[in-house]
Amino acid sequence: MLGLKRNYSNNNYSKDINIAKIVFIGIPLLSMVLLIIYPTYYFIKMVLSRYDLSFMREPVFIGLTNFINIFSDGFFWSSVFNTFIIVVFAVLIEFVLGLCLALLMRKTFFSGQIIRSLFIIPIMIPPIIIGLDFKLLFDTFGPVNGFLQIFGIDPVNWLGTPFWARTSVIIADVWQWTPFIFIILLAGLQSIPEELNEAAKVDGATGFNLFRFITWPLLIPSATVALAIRAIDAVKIFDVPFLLTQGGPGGATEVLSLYIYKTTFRMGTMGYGAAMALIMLIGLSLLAVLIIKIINLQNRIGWD
Amino acid sequence: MLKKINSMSTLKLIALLLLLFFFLFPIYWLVLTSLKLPPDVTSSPVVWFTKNLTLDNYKLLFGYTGNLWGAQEYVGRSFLTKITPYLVNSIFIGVFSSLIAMLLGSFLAFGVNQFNFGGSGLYKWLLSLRMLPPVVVAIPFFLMFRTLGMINNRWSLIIVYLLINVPFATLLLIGFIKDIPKEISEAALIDGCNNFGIFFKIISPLLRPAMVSIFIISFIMCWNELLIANALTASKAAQTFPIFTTNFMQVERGTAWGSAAAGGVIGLLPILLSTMYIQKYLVSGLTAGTIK
Repeated sequence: MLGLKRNYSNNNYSKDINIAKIVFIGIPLLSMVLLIIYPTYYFIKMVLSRYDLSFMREPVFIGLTNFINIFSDGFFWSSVFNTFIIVVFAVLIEFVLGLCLALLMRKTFFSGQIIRSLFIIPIMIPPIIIGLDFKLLFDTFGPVNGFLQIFGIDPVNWLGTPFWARTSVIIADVWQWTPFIFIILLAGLQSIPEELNEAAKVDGATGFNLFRFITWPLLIPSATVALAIRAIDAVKIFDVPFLLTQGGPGGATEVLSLYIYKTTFRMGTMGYGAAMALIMLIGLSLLAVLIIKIINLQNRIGWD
Repeated sequence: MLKKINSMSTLKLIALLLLLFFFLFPIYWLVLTSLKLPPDVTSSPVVWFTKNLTLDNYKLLFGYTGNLWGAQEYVGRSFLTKITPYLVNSIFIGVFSSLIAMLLGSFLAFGVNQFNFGGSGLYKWLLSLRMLPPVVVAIPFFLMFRTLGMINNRWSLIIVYLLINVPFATLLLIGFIKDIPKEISEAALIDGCNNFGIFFKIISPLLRPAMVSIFIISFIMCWNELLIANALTASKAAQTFPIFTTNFMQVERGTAWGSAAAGGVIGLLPILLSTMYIQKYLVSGLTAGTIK
């Protein structure tokens, strides 16, 4: 490429290169930077201010007071706790189920295009509709309780008790995102050469040993990427609890995004909400950096 | 030996069928509820299957004023707004935001590859933008658009979604452009083609299938997004389809679930129409180019 450039060292070509650089790098990058700079300015200003939309015309600078208030805000910390619980359980169950599905469906007629297309559907459905759908399913007289009755189990008040409400949110999340892990792991499984399995079988490996020593080590790259992306996305959960439980009962499903959203756009306390959003952003970034370090993402992609 | 294998696969089959049931039943239930007559929706015992199906719930959503379920009087009419403006807003915002994002994204991806620009710093920056929580995006943009007088404007949503869609399109397209052998563009360069020619005549035609999928996935992202849309809009002049769905949140238990489910089914249509097409690109799409 460099050699070619030298051959074309006349004016016309270098002019073309400069225009091309402006069009192909300058314009898109500049529009992205503009999209970030102005909001960041507002964001920083807001984090350091008290701004109550209901009665204040202008934000008032208060320094770091917002952060001090967050420290003693019990609702904030309980929303952090709720998010943590929901993320940990949802992602773990999704991973185990997704792995089982991928292992079960490998090399059956299920692994074809049609079944994969079917499994894409939950991932792409608007999460708000999933909230709505599970509201119908978990209704006191709904089909889930109907199933339980068939097996002689007493109906459960799914959305009315803290424990079961949290469980419902987790189940809805599992329903939507297990296919995501499944599809990534299936792609990972299908890239394992068949000869390896056969060689191991010839050597006498069967069942669990085959999985433990052949399949799993080769699956680790896809598994870590799937887990990483899923964990980061799961922290942002908003739509399903927003519609399914509205954060209730008793704040049991009040996740971080939902709490920040309510304080900012329902109560109108912009400054305080922005400060909480900043803490969420920092926490999420730390999580992302940690995960990227652990799975050594950069080297895998070969961007360096 | 044969018997053992058979029993294993029977067990596998049962497990598979159970899992399939778990994943398909909620969709079946949504569709069934949208077609049921009102008394069947919340009846106890549960109506698992019925032949009494009508499209009246859908008619209600589109503002049909004739008889519903054989009766002129229906309470739901008083609070249900028409779904049409919300769908129009969603399509308008989705199409424009995805188109602009695809244009900017393909330019940037081509530029980065052609001029060896950026490197891992740019990659991390784009990836970190994709990880931004919607609530962090919504607050500053709300304040900014309020100062600009652009709250409840469809274009402000189009602009915000660029922030999510451009990094997505760029990350994905860089992966696909890298797969195109460099010799092709070098040959074109020797034949006197400039960079614009290379992009428009050689790279873009090769990228077309990937770009269509990126357009579809970006569109669905806009179609699905609730938090930012809810924060930046106030009326049906700009509100999108997910906000329409939240109308059913306040409704008394069961009263409008039929129409709510019908709205949900309408919300699934773009996904159902495009899954076959995008499934080839979905793995790389979902992982932002970290897996191909």
